[in-house]
Amino acid sequence: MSGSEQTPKQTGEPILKLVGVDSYYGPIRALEDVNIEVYQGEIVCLLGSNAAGKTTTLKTILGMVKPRSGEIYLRGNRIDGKKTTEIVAQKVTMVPENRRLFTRMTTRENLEIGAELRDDKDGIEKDLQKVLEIFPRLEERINQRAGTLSGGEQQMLAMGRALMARPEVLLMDEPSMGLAPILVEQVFKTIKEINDQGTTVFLVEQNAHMALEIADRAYVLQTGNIVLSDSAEKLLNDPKMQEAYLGEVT
Amino acid sequence: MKLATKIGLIAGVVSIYFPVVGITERFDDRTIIDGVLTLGSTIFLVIALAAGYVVAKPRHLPGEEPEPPGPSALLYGAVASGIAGVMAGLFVLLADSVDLRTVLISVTGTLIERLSFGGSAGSAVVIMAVGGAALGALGAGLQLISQSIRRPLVIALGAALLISLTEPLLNAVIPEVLSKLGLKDDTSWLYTGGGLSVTGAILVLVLTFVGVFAWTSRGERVRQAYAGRSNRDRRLIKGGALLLLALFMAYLPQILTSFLSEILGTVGLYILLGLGLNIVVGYAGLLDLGYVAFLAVGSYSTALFVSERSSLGWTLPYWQVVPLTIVIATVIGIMIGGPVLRLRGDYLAIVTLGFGEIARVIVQSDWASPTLGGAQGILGVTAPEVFGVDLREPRNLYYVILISVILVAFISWRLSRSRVGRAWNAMREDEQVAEAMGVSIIGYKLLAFGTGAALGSLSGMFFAIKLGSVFPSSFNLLVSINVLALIILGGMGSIPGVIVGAFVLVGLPELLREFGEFRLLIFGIVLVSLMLLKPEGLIPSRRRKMELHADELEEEQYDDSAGQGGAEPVVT
Ligand SMILES: Nc1ncnc2c1ncn2[C@@H]1O[C@H](COP(=O)(O)OP(=O)(O)OP(=O)(O)O)[C@@H](O)[C@H]1O
Ligand SMILES: [Mg+2]
Repeated sequence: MSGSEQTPKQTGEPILKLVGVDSYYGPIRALEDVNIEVYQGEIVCLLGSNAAGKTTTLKTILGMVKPRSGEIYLRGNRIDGKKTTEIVAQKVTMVPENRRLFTRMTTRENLEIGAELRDDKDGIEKDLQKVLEIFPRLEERINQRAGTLSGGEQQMLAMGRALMARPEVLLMDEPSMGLAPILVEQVFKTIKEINDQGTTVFLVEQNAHMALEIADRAYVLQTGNIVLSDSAEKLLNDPKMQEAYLGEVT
Repeated sequence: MKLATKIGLIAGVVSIYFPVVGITERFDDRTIIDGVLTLGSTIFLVIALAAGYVVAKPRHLPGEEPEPPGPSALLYGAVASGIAGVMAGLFVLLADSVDLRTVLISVTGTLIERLSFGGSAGSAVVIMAVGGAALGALGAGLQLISQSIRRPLVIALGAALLISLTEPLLNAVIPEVLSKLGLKDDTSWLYTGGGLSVTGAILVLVLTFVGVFAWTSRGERVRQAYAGRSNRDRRLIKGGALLLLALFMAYLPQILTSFLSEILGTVGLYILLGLGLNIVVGYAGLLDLGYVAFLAVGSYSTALFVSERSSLGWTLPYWQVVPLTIVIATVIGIMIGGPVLRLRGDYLAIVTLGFGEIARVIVQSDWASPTLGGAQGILGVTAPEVFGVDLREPRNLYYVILISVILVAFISWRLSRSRVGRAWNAMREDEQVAEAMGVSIIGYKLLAFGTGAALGSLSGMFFAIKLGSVFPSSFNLLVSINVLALIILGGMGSIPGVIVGAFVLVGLPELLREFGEFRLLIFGIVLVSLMLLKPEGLIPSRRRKMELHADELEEEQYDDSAGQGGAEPVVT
């Protein structure tokens, strides 16, 4: 790990912290001594090529994969070993890889499921309107089955569904996957806007260039190990990054 | 042409199969139209017509415009059915010259005589070939005429066949209705000789044709008018229709024979079971093959607490037995649900299958027999009196079952549109993501098992009351399979589907009784054809339709959004 520079948002306790996390799938080790800190209000990016363990990191945070050793803290409280629903109830929400919408349910039902853990009917309705404002395309397709939406609309719906939980920490797994460049740009712009309104974002991406443009800091994961971490700005100009991740994308 | 040959060969084999297994001869006693057609010959007619029809059906690749069939289709149809006819004829020739009775006992002299139409076997080949070709061309011709005429025509023919086949049923009911209406209870205008009379056949054909024709040409406007109504109006119309249906069902036992009322009650029980399992399988997506266990729990719990001859030595009044039974079943449902929470799909099916068998084995075991009566079961389940209505009277029990069905259907319907139903849907589609959205998988699975168990036990209770006793042999795997089959037949997750499915699956075999040993064969043919024609079920829920007819529905949805005035083309 290279010595990283403090960025202005790194103040106080990290809202999310992974300390020496090891995760396994049976005998296969997918994560090895992973240390990550995410501070309130940041966009932190996790970069890495295929099978590096990015998705596994998110699943470990949400308790869908139990770490074999190491600790995970949310706002200073340990959450590793807790049930997924308990962790989600603490305002951590994921936009899963490949969207994974409930394809046979309507746009509206997908959004409503996002608010499954909330009970404030009025608040939910207000947030629904807000999400539809962010993604006007969804409003036109509110009663359409999610499976019949276009790829771009599906990504919007996946993000909207997560927003319905009113998350404080938003975990996103490769939101740019399979989208045309113009849509990727739009998606990242929206992520930035969501972040500007106070949501902390932990973003998994292979599209390093675009991700670093909006991120505050980033970690680079390689076969389960964090090999690099620094401010986004530094990484964008890092020659090692240039050849490994940025060259091929741009 | 290749297709025509292929279909012709298949049709030929089928038309030889029927006489060989003895169906033709047996069904020749059954009149379809008095003095004109017997069921045996109808089968040949239908095969030849169908072969021609299928051959002439326009074929096209997806996305291409179907080419309208030309006159050549007539030729192909004739060829197909002609081949079938020749095959059948050659078979008659063969059977006439060689005695096949040693191997095929049904190929009797009378059969051959009949199949040769009284002439020599040689002439049978000619008659069958020519007749087949003519019918094939006729069947193919159906494809040539416009849809607006073809549909009513086919439906009218089907209706005539159906009405004739249900003669034993209807001929018992109609006089009753007529005399209630103050008319002469004479049905000879419709039925004679165990089938439709000639006038009856013409009447049915013409009426159905005109009715369906009117509906296809005007129906679109009616449907549009309906769709154009406000949501509230539509709900009122729907509610009104359902109310009418309920009233009709309530009136039915008044005109039906007691045998039919009995069947109706059994169908009702299966509807209850189906609605219960539908929650587990259709809503929550948990494939449970041991559902019969809850029927058993309900029956035994009822018998145990109600029967004076049960091992308990004391009895409880019904108003305590009902909630107690439901509670016991729910608890057992949750207990069974517990260990299988982690299992999915096929694994879950196998394990629940085991549970169903365990339930039966426990009841029969020496260990439980002092309490549950072993193979002797529990006798003396006295039916209760509710508000002075004696439920021992089958007709009264029917009403209680009917009310329960309505109630449970309503609860099911509310559930499916509630937050719980939504969570079940999400869980069924993608358990992992649902959990990541905060859906408590464990909680909702147990809720599904518990609700299903409670409803299953309710049917069990009626089952015990209806029979007046319980035996372990009633609770076998076949019940679970039947309930699952009726759900699949009707359409997973669909409440009307469950009801129609129960009528077809439980009612149909009863009505087919007159066909004796061929009952299950016909039943099987009907089931297979239904599933081939409508794999998503008879009345699918919209969600399931998606799965199997995604392309059609996408179009429909595009229209939907157009209707809402926001159909701009999708960019991505
Ligand atoms: N359920 C599982 N069982 C066994 N091995 C798994 C499982 N899920 C992931 N793995 C393995 O763990 C490693 C990391 O997988 P992961 O999904 O975290 O990669 P990723 O960085 O998200 O890759 P991608 O960019 O392709 O999505 C891979 O080698 C993968 O094969
Ligand atoms: Mg991944």
